[in-house]
Amino acid sequence: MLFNSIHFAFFFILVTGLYFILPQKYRWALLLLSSCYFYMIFIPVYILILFFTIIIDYFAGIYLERFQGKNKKVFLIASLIANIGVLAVFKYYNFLNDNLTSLLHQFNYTNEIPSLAIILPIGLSFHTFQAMSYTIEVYRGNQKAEHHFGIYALYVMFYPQLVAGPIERPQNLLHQFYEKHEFEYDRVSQGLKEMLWGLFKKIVVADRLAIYVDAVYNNPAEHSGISAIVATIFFAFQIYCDFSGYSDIAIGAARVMGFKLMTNFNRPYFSRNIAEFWKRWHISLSTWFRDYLYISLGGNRVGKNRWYFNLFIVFLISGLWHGANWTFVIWGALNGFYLVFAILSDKPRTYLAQLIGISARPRLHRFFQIGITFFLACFAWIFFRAASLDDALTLINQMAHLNGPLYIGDPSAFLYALVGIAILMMVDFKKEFYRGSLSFMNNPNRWVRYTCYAALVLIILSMGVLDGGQFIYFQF
Amino acid sequence: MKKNQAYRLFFRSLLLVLLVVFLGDLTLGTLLRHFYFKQRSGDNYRMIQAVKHTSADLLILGSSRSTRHYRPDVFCDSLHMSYYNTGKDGQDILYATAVGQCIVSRYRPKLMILDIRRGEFRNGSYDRLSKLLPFYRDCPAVRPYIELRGPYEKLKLLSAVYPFNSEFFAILVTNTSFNEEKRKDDRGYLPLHKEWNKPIRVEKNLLTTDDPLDPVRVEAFRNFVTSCRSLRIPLIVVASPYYSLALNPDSSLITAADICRKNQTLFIDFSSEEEYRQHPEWFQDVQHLNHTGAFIFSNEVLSAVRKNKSMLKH
Repeated sequence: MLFNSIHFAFFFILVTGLYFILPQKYRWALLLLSSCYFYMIFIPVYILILFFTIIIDYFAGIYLERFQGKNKKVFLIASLIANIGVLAVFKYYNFLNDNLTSLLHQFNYTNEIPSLAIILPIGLSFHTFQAMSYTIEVYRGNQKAEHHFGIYALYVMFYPQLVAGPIERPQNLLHQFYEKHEFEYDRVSQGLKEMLWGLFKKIVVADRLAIYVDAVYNNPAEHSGISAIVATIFFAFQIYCDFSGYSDIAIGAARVMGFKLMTNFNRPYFSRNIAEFWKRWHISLSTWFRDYLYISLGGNRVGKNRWYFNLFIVFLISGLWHGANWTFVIWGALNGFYLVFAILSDKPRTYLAQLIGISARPRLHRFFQIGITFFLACFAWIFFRAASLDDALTLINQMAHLNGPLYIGDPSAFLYALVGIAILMMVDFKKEFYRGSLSFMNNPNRWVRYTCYAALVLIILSMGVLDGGQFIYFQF
Repeated sequence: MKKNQAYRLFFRSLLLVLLVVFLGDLTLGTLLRHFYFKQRSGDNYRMIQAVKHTSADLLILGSSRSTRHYRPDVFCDSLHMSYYNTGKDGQDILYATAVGQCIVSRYRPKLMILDIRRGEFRNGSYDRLSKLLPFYRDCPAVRPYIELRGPYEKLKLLSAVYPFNSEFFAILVTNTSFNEEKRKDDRGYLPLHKEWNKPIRVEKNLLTTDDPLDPVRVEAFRNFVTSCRSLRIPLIVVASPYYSLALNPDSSLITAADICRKNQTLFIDFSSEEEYRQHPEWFQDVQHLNHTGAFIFSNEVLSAVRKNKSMLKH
């Protein structure tokens, strides 16, 4: 079920209404059943995969608490193998098999192992990581094992964040299922506002930009360098709005019912460097990798070379997490490289800034830092979005030549995209630099607030991509 | 705040917000509707002319191929009929028959030509019928088509703004003379002037007789053919040329031919005509004839019409 669908609107109203009507002791059951329904709308039988990992992790958690030493480790390993195994089969099997075929072909061998004709279960990467964080935290002694099977299942399957995060931690989420949440006007209205803003980002900005980006990225050789640059910048905003919009809706929906989920995006394109970018972008994933992989590898409490290796490897794996394609691996590697380079070049860059006098002008300095960080992020996005390495290199080659006219396609669609980005940036700019100043959605005057809500709804109705009927008619 | 108080405050605020939304929607929707139907040129203007205003003797229906392939000068000079081309870029049989049904519910044209493509009855979404949303209120013939888009379509149409989704800038521009020259057409016909200079395409993925056809599209076509027959409106179904080589017969065209035969409707298939594959200079791209190619093709269609005059009398 998509968040930007009428089906979800009915579902949300019904579930939330029942949630507040039901006594506290039955609420977990309502949420679990509705989360099952939410998940089964996609491919019903895949819920069995989810329950397979839930059962293994539930018992792993209990035994992790009971046992000590080597025995304890066995249960952790069993849980990790089950979760990573499911991920490996459904997400990476065909990728690995295809690469094996290519490798064997180089030596004139054929690969007899067949490919699997399976669809990736929705949200697999997200709920797998969320489940793994539970068993790891129980193993570390930071979290008590959950003995209530239903509550544990709900922790993994909680519908607002089941499909696209935020990837929660058991310390943050589990106890909330035991708390009684009353209907509070301020909290409910704040949650609804977040959902509305998330819908704007997704429907008006992300889905609109996708039309242009798809037209260019699906035919890279047909488009000019300038079009490729514009499409890449558009994609940077598309992926931000798509992902953060979904997170806003998830966080808002949970907040309405009284649940606090972690912030997942914090205006990442205002970052001054790549390290800051990764503290603002997909925060739940980057902190997951930090806490469970980076620190386990030694973090920065090792020699310099090992530290750089740790950073690089974490981003490499992060790239692979995003998708089973070498383009994602390169995207991850690029980000790892950016970070390592930033560390290595910290002193020379500071010196250079002093030399050219820019460090004496903080606003200008910040502007350049934001610009350069955005440029680096966009360059990496080329690989993230391109269908193949060849396509990515074709686009980079086109950009390098800066040739040809700008492809506009449908001028209206192009204009809507620009209007959407302008509204988004105005709001984010105000939140970033003028936090204490006048707000529209949180204005003390209710008529200003109501007009703002109505304006957003009307913008969604008039400018949003409400179906797949929007397209750019591409003629030769 | 007590729970009941919180609920009261929430529902009161919600009602007020919904009221503001309703008033804003009504105001903006009314303005958009007014200016939508006042457009002076462009894609939407042609659609409005087709659905609501035209009373031409000869009507061409179809996709972007129909807007490029049937020259009005050729047909008007020979048949001494007024002409309007209702074709539209990016649309298919559902749009064409929806427009056709709207037209025949208004008046009885002397002749209709429906251009169909290879793969016309292929399974696909109905989302592009969103272009017909502005006509939902006034044209009952369009409603079953729009309701194909989804079970919540009627609910969405409670909004006055929704039918004009993504039309704001088009309405703004086409109500002025800004760039009007670029939007001009000749009775709906939009000529192309470039020449194709790449090798012929080989079509490998046409629908075979084993591939399932969309029953909705097939039914829409069948209904339109039978409507024309029962209203005694002469209809010709044409598959116009491609600059491509088909390796297998297309099941959409086979199905269309079969339906036409059963309804004694003339069906002419130029899609695999060898002569056109010898002349890339007649095409702008593999799917669209240019102005020169359209002249040649239009004359061939005319010859076919003349040869089968008896078939056109119901």
